[in-house]
Amino acid sequence: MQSQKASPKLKKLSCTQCSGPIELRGGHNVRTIVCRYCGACLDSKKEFAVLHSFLNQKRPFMPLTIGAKGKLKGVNFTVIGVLQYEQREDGEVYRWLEYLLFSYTHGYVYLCYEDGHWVMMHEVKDLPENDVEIFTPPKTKIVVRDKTFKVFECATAKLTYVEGELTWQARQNEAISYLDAICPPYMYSIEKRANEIEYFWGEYLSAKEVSEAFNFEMIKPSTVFACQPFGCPPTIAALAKGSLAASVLTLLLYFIVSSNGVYITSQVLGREVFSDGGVTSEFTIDDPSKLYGLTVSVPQLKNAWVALDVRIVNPQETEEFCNIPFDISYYEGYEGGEHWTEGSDEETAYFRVPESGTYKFEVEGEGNRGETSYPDANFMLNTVKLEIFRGVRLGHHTLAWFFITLLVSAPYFVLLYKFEKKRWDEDDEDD
Amino acid sequence: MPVSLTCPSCGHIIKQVTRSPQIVVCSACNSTNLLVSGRLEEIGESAILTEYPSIFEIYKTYRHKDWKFTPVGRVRYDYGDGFWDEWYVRSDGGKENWISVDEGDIAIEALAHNNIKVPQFNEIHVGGTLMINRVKMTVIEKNSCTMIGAQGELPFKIVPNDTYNYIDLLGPKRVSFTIEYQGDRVDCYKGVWIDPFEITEA
Repeated sequence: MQSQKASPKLKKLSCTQCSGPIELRGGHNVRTIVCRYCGACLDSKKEFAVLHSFLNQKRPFMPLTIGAKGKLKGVNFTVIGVLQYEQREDGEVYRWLEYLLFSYTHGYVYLCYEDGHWVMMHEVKDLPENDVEIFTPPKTKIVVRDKTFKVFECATAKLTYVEGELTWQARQNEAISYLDAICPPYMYSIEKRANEIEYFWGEYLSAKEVSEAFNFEMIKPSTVFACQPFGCPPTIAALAKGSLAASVLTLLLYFIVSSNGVYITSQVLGREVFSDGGVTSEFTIDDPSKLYGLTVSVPQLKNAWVALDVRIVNPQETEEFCNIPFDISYYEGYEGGEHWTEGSDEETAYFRVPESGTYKFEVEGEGNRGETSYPDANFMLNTVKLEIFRGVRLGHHTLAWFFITLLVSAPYFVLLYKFEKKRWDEDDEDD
Repeated sequence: MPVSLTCPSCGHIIKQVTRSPQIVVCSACNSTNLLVSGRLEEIGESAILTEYPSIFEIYKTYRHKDWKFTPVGRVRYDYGDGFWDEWYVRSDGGKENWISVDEGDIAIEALAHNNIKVPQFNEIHVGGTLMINRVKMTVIEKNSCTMIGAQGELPFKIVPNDTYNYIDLLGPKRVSFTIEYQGDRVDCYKGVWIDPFEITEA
């Protein structure tokens, strides 16, 4: 059997238009090389013949240069080419760089740079599971690889600068239409040129990761990028989400366990409450282990207040078991044509008694109109109503836990909301 | 269970991993050997494959999602503008597949059954579509290639400089389909394109 060896690979050449030195770093799928000195686009498959030239190219600022080597996602890459795209909208100009990186093991990827942000993208053959047009309204959902992406931006950009090796033949000022959909830190893009459509899968990389990989000074981003993840440590995110879940559960628990109790009886006292004090008729407490509720209402209370002392006493009125103060006030009026109210004409308090038996309420009180601090001799209320409920469950502890867990989770979700608002608002402003 | 074979050319002990390889290329002397009744018979020397860094190494185990596999042989084909490697891989369950690797373009394929009707090579055009088993597929490449080297264990006899025509098709959900035309013989391979970033060492 004959032996056959691969022909040696050319590593350097002179530009066939200007004789400028060109180094070749890509693989055999490189189709064209654009000379950085004269802009000639050379055909790597036809003895580097000049296909056309990119005229009057202005070299943009580049944090990375062609030939730089670095390791991203555990894969060794070399920068072999760079492109600059420009998008104009409402008088604003947006520019970004796309570096073409080559790896012998993983092929070609694009490392996109904009305002200090980096996204590594590579071509995939994954088409969206639903039908997607290149111009689709923002936030439309796209499912790719079982992940749900939201359309972030659809636009048309033009190529304004090219240098180095490419796997395709670029044209000066050629237009591309693109759709970017996000599922941070991932991005899914569809790019449409004159005669082809390509699909890309991307992942956001931190500026630190890229600068360390390629050993250059980091440029700190000042904005929120489309697919930038909310940079919160996973443990804190998990704690916040857990706390939110716990707060929802405790709130549910509160509604399950809390109860206003069962109505037992009601007693009505008259105006004697505000003079000598009134005493209700007897009522029975048959289960002292339960919590009882006492709702005191003063039906005619309007723009006035009352302060009542309600004492629970034995039927002989010789022993007092409990003294419950009630401060009730109710105000209303009109301001700017709007009716307003403040306070209520009733209030509820809770009590227990030491043992089952019959009891009475002793009620004493005073009151006045709200608009004067001087006693009003004519102020009088005719009715004070007392209602008793058995087996009240307050659920205050559960409610307290609801607020505690909500407070624990709140900072995370507030910051997340602000971050997401910035992500989408910046794009809305662009739109 | 690997079987030990002795290279008739240099005496190197070769571990046979696949069930019934036809060809075993000795890693020590690069001689190409035909496996006949459990013994190796030298039939020539294989081309030494120029070692470019590859995503796979022979006899190292890898994982793609839930699938674990070990490359046990490879054949390199030149298609004019470059080359690609066809890795012969053995999965954990003992099934054998092919993985084609061309600078990050990776497809896992297996021989499809024979009764698939496909057009003649000349009748197919890049960008056109074919219905394969009622699935519409797009022709993404039409080319010819030459075998330029081999390594490890292979299930068929290799002939260096052997040339054949091929058609690559892309279907929905990353489905790949390759039609190989070699003389009167037509072989079809069906598989799936995979993302190199989803391959990890096991």
